Amino acid sequence: MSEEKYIKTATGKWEAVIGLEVHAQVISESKLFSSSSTKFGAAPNENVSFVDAALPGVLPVINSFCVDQAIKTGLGLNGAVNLVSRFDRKNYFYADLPQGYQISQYKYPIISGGYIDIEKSDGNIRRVNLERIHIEQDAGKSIHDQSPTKSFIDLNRAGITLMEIVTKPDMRSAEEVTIFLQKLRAILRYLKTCDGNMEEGSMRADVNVSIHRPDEEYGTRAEIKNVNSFKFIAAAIDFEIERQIGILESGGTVDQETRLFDTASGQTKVMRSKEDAQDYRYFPEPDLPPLTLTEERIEKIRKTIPELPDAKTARLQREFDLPHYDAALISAESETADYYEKALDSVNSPTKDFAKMLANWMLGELFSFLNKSGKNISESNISAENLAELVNLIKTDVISGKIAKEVLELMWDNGKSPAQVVEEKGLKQITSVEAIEEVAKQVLAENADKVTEYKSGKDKLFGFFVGQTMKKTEGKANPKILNEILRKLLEA
Amino acid sequence: MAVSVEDLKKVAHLARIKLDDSKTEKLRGDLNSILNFVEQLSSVDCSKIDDDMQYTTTLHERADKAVPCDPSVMDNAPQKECNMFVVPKVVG
Repeated sequence: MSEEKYIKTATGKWEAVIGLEVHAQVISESKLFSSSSTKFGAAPNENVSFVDAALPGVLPVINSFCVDQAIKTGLGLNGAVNLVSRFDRKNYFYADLPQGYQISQYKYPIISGGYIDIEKSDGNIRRVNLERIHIEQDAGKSIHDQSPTKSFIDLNRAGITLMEIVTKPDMRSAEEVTIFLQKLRAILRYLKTCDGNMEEGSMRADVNVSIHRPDEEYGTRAEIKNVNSFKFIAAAIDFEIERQIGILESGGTVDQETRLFDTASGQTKVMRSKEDAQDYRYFPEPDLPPLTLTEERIEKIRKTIPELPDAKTARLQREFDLPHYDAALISAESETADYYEKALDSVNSPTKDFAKMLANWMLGELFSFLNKSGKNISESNISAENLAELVNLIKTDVISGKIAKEVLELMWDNGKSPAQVVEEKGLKQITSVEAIEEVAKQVLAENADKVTEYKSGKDKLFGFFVGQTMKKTEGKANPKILNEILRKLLEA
Repeated sequence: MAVSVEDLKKVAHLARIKLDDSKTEKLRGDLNSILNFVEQLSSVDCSKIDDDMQYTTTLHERADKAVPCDPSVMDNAPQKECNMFVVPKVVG
């Protein structure tokens, strides 16, 4: 273990210990135990059935697809699927939970174990183990800021399927947590089991933070509830670590409590203390017998799992000699990987050179256009096929790399294919030896004095002749041919 | 099994029931006799039953198909505004 992970203060070293409970909304048409739609953005209480409103006499009926989605997620995260799992009632009172209890899985979750390997910025790999994944119902949404005395309840979200992904306390810094969450989000998106949209609340995290002296037992942890952006999670963790160090170093003790992160002040504040901690009185859900799965069902789902980021990164490195950094960047998001592979597929048997050049153009030029316009790659003005065609034009010497940048900009602006742009704007590279030679001769004739200087040993002037010839051809001369011609003419 | 006054107060708090001190003893007695009654279950011999996962019914699973909801669900709201349920302000 390296020393860097410790936090050094005047009194010595501290180590932070962090575990997460991530709530990921499952992608499905209908809710976990009712047939109401899960569509985001519906009118208030539009998707609320009698089951969701917990009217007397209703019974939950489980959504088979949501079970499949949880199995798929478990397999994708290297977990073990339990052939028998069970639902439990978690009792608590809150206005956005009409049943008065949440149907969850407590004692027997659907998935046990699992892990994600994260790559830190220094290149080190750290394995974050998972405790479990279970499925449960989401609660409704409370709106508190519309009236000083009243709260408004929208139950559209009530009953939507959540996967609670619980990690072991295996993270040591805000950086590790951020990388873990980004990777988890990417895997869920590859699997298409959760859209990972944090703004819409599809992915939320509770963070458990404690600190201790490296040679001592883990400290008392505080839980930070429902933080919903990577930035805020990191800020909340850093604040919490500082706060706990402050308490312990001044001789106090950390209380086991639930805290809320206030985005405005950047601080965490007590939500409820241990004395007030909820006793959820879990008991087996009497309305649902245990969920039993067959090996056949699990195997069938296993076959639907796509190549995931780590495997894709390794394959791109192996197959195309891509640098690890590029391969990992391409594989980091399913959309980026899809785009890249679609571009590769659009050409016949792409070579390693082509693959590398394509990666450079995508991660460099295309990404800069995307960043500038605030678009993500699936909204790109330039299709994967067109980008591949552009790279092909460079590789086959139809245009130079410099001209290609110009072409790419025009492609971005008007959505045309590179061939069209090159044709319309007359940007085709000049590869005719005769044509280039003619221009080169002209340049040399116009600069007879410089030719003399060159011949008397001023080698640097070669670049000047190249530049002048390029200028006359509007940058269209093939640089390789031009170099050869100039050398030949000057040495004659 | 005996319920203490502290147990009683804790359960009342969790259930958000306001407890009148004068009724504490009576309720404690009631609760104890209920628990004693249920305690009879302990005399059943469960040693031959493997675990608590034994059920005779199997879980019925439904297909993932969304069905429009009946808007009359809101008719049951004692108070509503903008098609939302209105409750006393609850924060945190």
